[in-house]
Amino acid sequence: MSARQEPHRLHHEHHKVPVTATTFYADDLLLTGEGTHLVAYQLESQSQRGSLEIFPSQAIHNILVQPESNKIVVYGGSLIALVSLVRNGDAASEIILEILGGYNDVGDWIFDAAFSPSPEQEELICVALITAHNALIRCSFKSSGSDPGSDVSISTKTVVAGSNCILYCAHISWLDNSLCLIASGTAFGDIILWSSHFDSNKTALAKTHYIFPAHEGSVFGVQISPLLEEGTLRGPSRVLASCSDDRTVRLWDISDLDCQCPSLTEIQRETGFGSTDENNAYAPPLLARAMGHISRIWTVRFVFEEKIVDDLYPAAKSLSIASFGEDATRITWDITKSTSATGINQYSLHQSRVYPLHSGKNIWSSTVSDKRCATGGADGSIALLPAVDKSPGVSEIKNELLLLASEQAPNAAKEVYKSFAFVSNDTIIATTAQGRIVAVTLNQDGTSTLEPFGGYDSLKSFSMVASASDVAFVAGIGGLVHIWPQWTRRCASVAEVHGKVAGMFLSEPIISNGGVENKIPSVLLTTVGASTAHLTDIRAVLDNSGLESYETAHRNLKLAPGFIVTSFLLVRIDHRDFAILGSRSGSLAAYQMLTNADVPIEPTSIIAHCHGKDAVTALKWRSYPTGVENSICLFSTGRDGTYAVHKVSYQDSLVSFGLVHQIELPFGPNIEGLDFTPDDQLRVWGFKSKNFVVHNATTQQDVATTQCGGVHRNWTYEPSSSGGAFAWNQASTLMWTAQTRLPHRSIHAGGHGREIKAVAVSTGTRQLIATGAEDTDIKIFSHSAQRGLSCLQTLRKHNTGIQHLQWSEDGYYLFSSAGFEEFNVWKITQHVPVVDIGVCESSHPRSGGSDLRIMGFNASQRVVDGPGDAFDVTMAYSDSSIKHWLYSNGTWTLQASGDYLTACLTQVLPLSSQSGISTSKQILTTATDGHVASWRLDGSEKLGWRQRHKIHQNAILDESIHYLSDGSALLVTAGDDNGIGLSRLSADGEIATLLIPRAHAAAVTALAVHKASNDHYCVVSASIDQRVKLWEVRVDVARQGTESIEVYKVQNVFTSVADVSSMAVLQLNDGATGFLVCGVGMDVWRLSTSS
Amino acid sequence: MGKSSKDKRDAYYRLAKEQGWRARSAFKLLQLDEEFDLFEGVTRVVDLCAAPGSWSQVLSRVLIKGERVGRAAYEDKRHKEFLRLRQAASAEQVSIDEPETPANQPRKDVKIVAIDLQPMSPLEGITCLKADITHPSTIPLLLNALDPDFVPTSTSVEAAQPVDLVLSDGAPDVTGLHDLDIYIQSQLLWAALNLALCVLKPGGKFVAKIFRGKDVDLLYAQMTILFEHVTVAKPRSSRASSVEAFIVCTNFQPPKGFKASLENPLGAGRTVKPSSEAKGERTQACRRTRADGITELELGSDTEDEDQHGRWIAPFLACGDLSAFDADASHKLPEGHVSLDPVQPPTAPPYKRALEERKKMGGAYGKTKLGEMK
Repeated sequence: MSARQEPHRLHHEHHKVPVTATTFYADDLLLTGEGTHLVAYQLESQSQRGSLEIFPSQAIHNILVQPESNKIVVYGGSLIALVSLVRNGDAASEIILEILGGYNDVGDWIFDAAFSPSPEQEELICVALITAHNALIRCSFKSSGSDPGSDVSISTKTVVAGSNCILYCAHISWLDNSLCLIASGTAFGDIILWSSHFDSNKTALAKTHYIFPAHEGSVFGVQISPLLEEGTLRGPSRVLASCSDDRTVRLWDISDLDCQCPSLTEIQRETGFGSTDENNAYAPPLLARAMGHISRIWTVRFVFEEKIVDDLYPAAKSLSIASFGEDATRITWDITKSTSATGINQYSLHQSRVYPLHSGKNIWSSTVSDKRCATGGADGSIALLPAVDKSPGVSEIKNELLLLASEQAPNAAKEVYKSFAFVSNDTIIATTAQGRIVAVTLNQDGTSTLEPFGGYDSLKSFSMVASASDVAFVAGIGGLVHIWPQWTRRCASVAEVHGKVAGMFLSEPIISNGGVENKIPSVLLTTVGASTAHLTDIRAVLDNSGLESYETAHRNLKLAPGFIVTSFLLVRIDHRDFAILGSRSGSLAAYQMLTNADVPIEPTSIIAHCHGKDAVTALKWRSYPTGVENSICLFSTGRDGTYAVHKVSYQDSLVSFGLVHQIELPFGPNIEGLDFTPDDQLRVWGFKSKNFVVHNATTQQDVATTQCGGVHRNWTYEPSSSGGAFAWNQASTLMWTAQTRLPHRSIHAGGHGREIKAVAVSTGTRQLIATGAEDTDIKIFSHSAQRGLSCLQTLRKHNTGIQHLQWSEDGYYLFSSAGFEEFNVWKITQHVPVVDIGVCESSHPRSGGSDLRIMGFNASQRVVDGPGDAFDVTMAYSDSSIKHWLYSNGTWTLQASGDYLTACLTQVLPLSSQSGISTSKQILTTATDGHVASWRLDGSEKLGWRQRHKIHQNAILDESIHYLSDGSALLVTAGDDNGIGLSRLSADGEIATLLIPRAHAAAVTALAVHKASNDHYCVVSASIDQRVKLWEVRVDVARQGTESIEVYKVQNVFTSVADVSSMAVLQLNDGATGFLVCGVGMDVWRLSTSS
Repeated sequence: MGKSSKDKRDAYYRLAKEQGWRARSAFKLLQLDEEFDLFEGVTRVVDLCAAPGSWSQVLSRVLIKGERVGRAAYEDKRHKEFLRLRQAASAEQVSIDEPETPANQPRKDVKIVAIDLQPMSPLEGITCLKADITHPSTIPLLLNALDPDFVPTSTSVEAAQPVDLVLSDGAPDVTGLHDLDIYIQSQLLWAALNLALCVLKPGGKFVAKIFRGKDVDLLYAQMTILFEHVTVAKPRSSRASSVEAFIVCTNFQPPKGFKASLENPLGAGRTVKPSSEAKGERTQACRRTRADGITELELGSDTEDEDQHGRWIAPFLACGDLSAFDADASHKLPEGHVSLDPVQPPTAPPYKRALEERKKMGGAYGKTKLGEMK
């Protein structure tokens, strides 16, 4: 069988999997372990320069580098390999990675390794390894040829044998040329600190220094510090840091290594939890402990900084600790020292900054150099940040400054900042309780300077400030509006309305055709109780004395009853000017700006609930590319936690709003504003609990986070590409902060934070990949040869893990199901300015209605008269029931329902009727009982299965159906029972099954089928055994039953994707067929055909 | 979520409470027993990683009290009812027998030793030890518990009176790093097997939890050298979405000259080599039609790349009647259902203190920044 030559082969293209190793190489490179592959990135450009598969079926867990010899040692599981790194020319060119001498299996899991400082003469490289059973192993790489690097042989020798007790972590450090110090953390919370001489000739004598119960849970990370200078901690010359399941980071003084204690077996009469004596004599002094992270802490590392910590020892570096956890954050801990009255040094750990670095869960790898830190996440991204970085300083603008600035001291106690706004990135225009207008300039050192611009009685009891770039407007109780342009730094009055000003909104002015450029925004004022809003266009003119004065034009906009304006924008559609207002209750209204209107302008159109019933906080617009003259794209943010894009069209004197995009953001619900970066990325900002968050919606990353106490305060924000400046009122003081550098940069951002559960690839004009994961998100990816998989949108609507995804045939709709009966329909719009893919959603009314899971479904388009699309959606539920719904124009109607037996249904498949015209449709269901059942949707309200056929012993996890040339069908099923079923369904309903019982070593969780030719298929299966197998299946339609099916296993390859859940056929850029394997990560395989 | 929602989500969770089991995993052993008749002729058993003790409870009820425990039947009845209604049209008579409950038959000379890292509430007639099964010091403890005449100074690590059955339902706290979790689980399995090799009599049985993941076929291949029959079994009470399964090894046949040793245990580095004769017979590619009409395709060793890499895929068997409760299905609760408290509250996790500290400092989600602990 194996001798047979089959025409198809699978070739690995690329993958996006958890980053399980990260190490800096020299000054300019970062090396990572991404599944089986070692990848080299250039730090400056963050671009990939080289990649090599190291182990055929094992992920890389750590990388050791020796740049001076161009050597890299890579290990993962129990395997270890030596790799050389050759730079090919300048920085931009490729890096060649080459394995020297294959790889070696040391027989046990490797937890840590370190280069020997003094390898023996014939050794190229010598590495000391610690295994999961606490054995110390010497691994030598020797070159037998004359040319170093050629004919490398690898040998290992156990220096100190291990114990039976299993470790969860270890750290090995060289004390001198032949002595290793080792810290080992056990599953039961103990740490063993021991040392051994490391000599290839002699049997080493291991010495145990300390064995102690260090934590209340498993020890996941240990780190031995290098020898510390006297001034660093003033006392301890060597410390040990540890972290654990118990959420604490602890620091131990291990300066004294003369201490020796009996081995673990000798002191332990009892084993298991709590068996080592809490007050035992073999514990080193605990210097400090602190609690941090939401969940388990995986790693601790020491961070040294060139900073004077002790005036007596100017050369000593400062020491801090970085911890990395399951919560995908890094926490930096300062070690502070105090001296008690009795002269004893006391230490404590203080959290100095928390960095959320990855989405979802788990930082799996981290590295810290003098300057930098890099982390690898389970989401497949790499975060780059400085080794030491403090939060941007928060400064207070002192109220005393107001006293100094005043001509005659007012009542100092009552003088506070009331309202304020940025007029540029370092200047705030503020009003005070005493009715004064001041300009506050923020200096880089955190201080501020003040310039007063007069006082107004009308601003005393009430005032508001609004600003656009370079211009601020101030309004008070009397309705008088002042302008303060940055270029004149003078205050002048420009408008007056009657009544108390309720709101003041600015919009960039519209430049009329042939008009003079105007840099002063238009102002919209609303007053309390008024039914109109007052719009003023302002133009600056120079008077005879050269001073600037202002010409204004006024118009009134009629407000609908209850329409309280919260945002305002002027737009131009098809050579006509419009004002668009957003309301507190989520509505949008459009007004056509007729010139010389004496009477208030009526709204042309109003649409309700654009942001639910919550305020529309900001509006911006973009024109479509040329060719779409009569429409613009309106961007809005709202306090419903979303941003939205409407296509606003003008036709036949009517303005219409069509929603093309609205998605929930990862913060909120108070989304307060948006703008576009110079390179056309979308930036949004708002609040998340007590933080102010700035988020780049294009790259889907947080840009800045400021803890300000929450949404209920006055604040102002001035965006910039490095994060921007933010000022807010806290109690009665004005605080500000400016971020001049992004907290971290990411490579390959946008992956799921948890395992993918479902995937679907669209077949429309543009191929889109939808994935749904346990993190409850759905992501839309595009795939290209250059960029691999890039995430276009993240859809956050589900509250439970995604169960199933399906695209409509034309690719304009995506359907998704999850637990709690959640079912959503997503409408896709292509070519939306800025966001590219527009997505808007409609939920099934029963979503969240019960705790049933919708395990699978089938949606098929129904041909309808009239506008809109309609779909027949048949859903399979976890309680063994099935329901057939009609989805049409956003409404759902139950057509029929029925029950299977007691097993959980897993999927619904349409069965095309080959027997001429038939009004009824057939479907197949699969279930956890291993059976397929056929059902007929014949128009009756009661559904009942007609026929049941056993294929597998238990759950059917994936399936695919294909029609053969004679009208019969081939059903391929993947079983939890490790089997693959190939069933032939004859036109008259007969089913014959050929089962491959031991197709994989574990549950077959996914399969995909490519039709090679008539009645000839390439079936690709994947399993949680991390193997992907290619099968060629041919059906001889002239024959009957299982005799007609021929199957050959062609290939068996490893995938770096663990927990595979789903697979889809993908079209690669050159038109070739690919297979996308999803689980913990994504893996792309190319199907090649030899002619 | 309300208290009863877990009852609906998980029928076995509810049933365990109703039938007084300490954990739902009791049903996994019962369903394995349904298929493999594990307790046939068995009087001496070692239960490893036993806490909270539901498997020991099964042993206690079956061996000591001699009860005939089985799963409750109402879902079963529902299934039969469905079938009956469908067949009502046909004249065929479907008889649903109500089996009579046989009298309890306690067995003689029963010896059950349960071991776990965590302390376990005592069970009548069962010797409970708190010990680490990977630790060499556990062996004399176990031998002593099995045989009070055992002299701890003896160098032998093999039981004078061996046992018939060794069970292990142990699993580590998973980290989420899949290959590490699989490795740790395989080490637990090796630890259980190494202990079993010391106490199991030839012909004895070994049942242990296994993660069906990467390289599980390497484990299967090793087991098949030590036991005549090796099957991987998945009880219906174990979720399809879980990697968990059970390896059921029967007829213990250690290779000639094999000596159990906890000083040089199997697992980390040491493997057993098949004795040249009996094992590793190569399978030929063939087709076989089963009684239920399904044709099985055996691919044959040549295409399996198995033998040369010490890999072998054990046959799979789903346990428990198909009409039994499905661990993946949601269930309608009977009218007037009252949610019971668990028989045994869960043991305190190591981060319990962390939760308490966090609570003191103002809640888990309000402020993540935690200060120094005093």
